[in-house]
Amino acid sequence: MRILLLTLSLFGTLTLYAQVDLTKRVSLDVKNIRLDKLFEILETNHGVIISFGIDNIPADLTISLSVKDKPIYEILQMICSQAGLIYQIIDSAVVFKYARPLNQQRIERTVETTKIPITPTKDSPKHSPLDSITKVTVSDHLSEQPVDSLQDSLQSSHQTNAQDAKDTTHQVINEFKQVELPPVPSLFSTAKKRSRVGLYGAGVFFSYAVDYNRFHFIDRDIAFQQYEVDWNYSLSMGGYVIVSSKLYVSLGVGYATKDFALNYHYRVLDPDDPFPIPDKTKVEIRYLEVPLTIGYGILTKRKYSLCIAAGFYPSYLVEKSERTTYLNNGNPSTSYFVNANRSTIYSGTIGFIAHYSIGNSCGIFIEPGYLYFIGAVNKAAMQPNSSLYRIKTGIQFSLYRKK
Amino acid sequence: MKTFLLLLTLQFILLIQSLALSVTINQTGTAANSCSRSLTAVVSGGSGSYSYTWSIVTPAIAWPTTNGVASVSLALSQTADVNVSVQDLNTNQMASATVTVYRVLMGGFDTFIPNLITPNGDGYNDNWIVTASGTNYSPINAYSYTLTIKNASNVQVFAASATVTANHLGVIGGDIIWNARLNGSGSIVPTGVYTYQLTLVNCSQSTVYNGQLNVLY
Repeated sequence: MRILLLTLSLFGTLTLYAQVDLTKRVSLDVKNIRLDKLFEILETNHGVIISFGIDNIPADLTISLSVKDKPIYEILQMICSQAGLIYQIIDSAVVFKYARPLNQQRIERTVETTKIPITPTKDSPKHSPLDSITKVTVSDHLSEQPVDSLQDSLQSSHQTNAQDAKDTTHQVINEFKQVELPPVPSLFSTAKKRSRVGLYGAGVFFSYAVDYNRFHFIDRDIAFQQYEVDWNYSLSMGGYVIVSSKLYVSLGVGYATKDFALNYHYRVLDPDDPFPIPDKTKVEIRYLEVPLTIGYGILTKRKYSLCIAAGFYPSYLVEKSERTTYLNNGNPSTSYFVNANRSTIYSGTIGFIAHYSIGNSCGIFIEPGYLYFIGAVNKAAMQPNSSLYRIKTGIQFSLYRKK
Repeated sequence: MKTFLLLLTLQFILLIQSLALSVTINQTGTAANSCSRSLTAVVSGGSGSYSYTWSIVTPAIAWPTTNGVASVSLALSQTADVNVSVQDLNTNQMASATVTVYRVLMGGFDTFIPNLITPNGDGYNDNWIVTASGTNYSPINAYSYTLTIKNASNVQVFAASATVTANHLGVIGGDIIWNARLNGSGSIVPTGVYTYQLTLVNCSQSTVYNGQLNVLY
């Protein structure tokens, strides 16, 4: 949660991780479709697994394509043409840059694509990658030396059979390494591959939560005496680490209340009775929570993300008190329940975390969840199967991001 | 001659008597447990041939039942002043009378039933007393009650019942009472949770109240 999964985004950059054979031939026919939807279709219909993040791309940018039996790399060229993108080869990925990059100095290597047919039709002549790329430039300040230009590789692939083209593509991809990525606001953005586990980011979070308690109280001998529980709350802070493109782990400490009360509901004819007649006993319990949470990103947009999270919350009793009020007069210091609080309780939680990035290294989140107590919080008043619904809100700050 | 004068005087007296028309109302069924009040117009004087007109004077509500007869039966939900007007059909003389008719006990019950007593002899909450809802000793709108109290082991510790006929008010707050003693005269029962079953009856309903009673001292 606390984690901000962020839309990965290289400012003004669209990053695409191609994990399939780029020479695979597919057919497409789409009109005015958003870029992310197009990649979704490629993934769903053609098994082209692509992860990408977009930033600084106009929201209304749409693509139209009508191709039949074209290699994937050619389709990507067409997309570049329509989207106004340029791209470079980085490590095992093809990195697209928006044609108007925010920081021109960070461009290491650029292949500009122009004059690509915008919407090829079925009847239009087949365009080779060579036809589509009319100019290839290599920056003079490059620190690394490319073996071949993309144009060369594409030309080569066009002139060979499918297996050759695949090999050539892999060759090009593998020949460009150690290219520095620009800083990005998203935590997950540096996790280059989904399957790789490592330290990609870390930060801290601060949160406040309210609990709608579903304590299962033990039935009283006197039916008209009833327990009640108001909203409890918790304050917590902690840290998190991003361990993959979709996975994070967080650990924190929190101060949580587990208050409840017993209403006696006595009806007496004469409230002036000197015999003390209790009205309500209120028990205040404070626990130190140590929430350990693991989250998995299930939806990532440019500024929004959604995770499913599961956690384990050991809690330690740090403060307790009990006070009783009376219909008449009586000693408020009672001990009907206060000594029955468990010193340690364990609970498990599951929920969702919706995160919104509000800056390069900051985000806010809301986390609705369900928390189940493995043991009773108060042995004199509650059954073991108590639970609560928690809505947590907070803010997160990123302190480290892998370059 | 003397005889003639005597007969004439006697006839005059009879004539005077026949002209003095008067009416009174005879009411029966006034007990609390009576669910209707019977009224009969008793007329004297006149020719012996009358018409009857009944009405409710206070409050201003319409006559709820058959009119034009000498005897009527009423079940009013509120106490009212009832008037009867009698007219001699031969002499057109008129007479009237008014009487107060008390409401019959009907509708919901008005109760305050304690759930805690402290029979420690301090004079406060030593007895379990059912009162009107304002914790005062007003009528609770019932003419009959039946009470049983049992301990936590479901053993009866007290029972009482009564039907009030003495007046139109019925059961009033304080009539239903338990002094926390076993069967009302033994030792004070131990502290604990007791259950009561109280049945209240009036002309329109019979309601059973089941509840718990905590005895502390």
